[in-house]
Amino acid sequence: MKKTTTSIRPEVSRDSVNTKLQTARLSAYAKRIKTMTGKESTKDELPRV
Amino acid sequence: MNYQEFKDYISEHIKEHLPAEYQDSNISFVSFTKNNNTHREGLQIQKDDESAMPCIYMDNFFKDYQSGEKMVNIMESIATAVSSSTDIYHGFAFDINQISNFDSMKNRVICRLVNKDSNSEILSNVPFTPFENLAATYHILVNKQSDSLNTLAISNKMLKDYGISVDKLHEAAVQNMDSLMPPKFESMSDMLHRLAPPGMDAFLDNTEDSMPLYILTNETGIYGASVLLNKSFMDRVTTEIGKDLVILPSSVHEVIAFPRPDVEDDVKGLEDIVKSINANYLAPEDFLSNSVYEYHAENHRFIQCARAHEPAQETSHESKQKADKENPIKAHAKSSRQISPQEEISL
Repeated sequence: MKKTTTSIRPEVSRDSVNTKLQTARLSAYAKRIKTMTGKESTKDELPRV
Repeated sequence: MNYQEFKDYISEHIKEHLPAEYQDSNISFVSFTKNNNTHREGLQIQKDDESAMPCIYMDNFFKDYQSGEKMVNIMESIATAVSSSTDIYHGFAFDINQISNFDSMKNRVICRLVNKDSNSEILSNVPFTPFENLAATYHILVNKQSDSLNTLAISNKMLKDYGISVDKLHEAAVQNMDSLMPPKFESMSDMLHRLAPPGMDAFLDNTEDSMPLYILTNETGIYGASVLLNKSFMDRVTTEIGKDLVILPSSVHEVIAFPRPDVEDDVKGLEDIVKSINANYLAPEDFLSNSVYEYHAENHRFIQCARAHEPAQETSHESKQKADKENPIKAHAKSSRQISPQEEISL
């Protein structure tokens, strides 16, 4: 019978690139939702990552 | 060297950098399908007397090579990664050979929430529970550190070995959530101040007195969108916020919640925001959904906003549970039909 093997590999690890993207993403949501609901002016454009 | 030549070089020379115990091992490269049908290739080194083996992803090493790193340093780094991976699974708090025994594993089962349509390939090989247009998949928590996890995906073959239904697996995963992957929620502003790396002050949310936004995730921040499956946690959130919620699928790692406006908001507008941010600020493997959702506190209902006016129905998990109770033999036969043998288990 063929032996069943299991590969052990590291799962998602949070690195600086992901944190930057996550920060930019959450910030973009904050700005755009507040703009949409009229709680903030549209003048603040987000910088690109 | 191109990527193929890079791999050939590693295959031929990696044993020169490994301890004597690896000299008779089998070396191969295997491609794994990851979330949202993304792929990563890893180097596997299997010793004859071991049922588990390390797998080292190659993409970052090849990037180092392309950036000018010397091959001798790359080979040493790979050898170190092989040794440390082996140390990790030798240090498991359970016997890896027991992975086919549900009683040994049930306290380690966790779940993830992923997009159903963009994971059709993975979902054909693993048990899952539909959750609106998302899917809950199941994993064994092998090792947890503050910023990384080692997990083992539960395959259809493993479920067959366990001799249980998908519903039983789901029940175990949800029960383990509070202890293994504790959920948490915090304000958007607090999270941004905690996360923002140096030089990213421009992204900080400084409008604390305006509309409150909350991040729902788990303590590790990895695959934290699964907290949506935790009804007691969702009820705590709605109690704290005091309203039904609008949920935006920021990524598989976190979702955004805010009080559902009293006046019907522009769902299409919110969907446009989600789609635009998914396209510009999200890695493909972290994509969760382009839909906007609501959570209704009164009936614990999680639903796409676009369907929110449809009459409340049981979730597929709830209706399946009811059917299983009414006819357990039929339920077992139904879950068995989904199972197909799979030799390779990916993490």
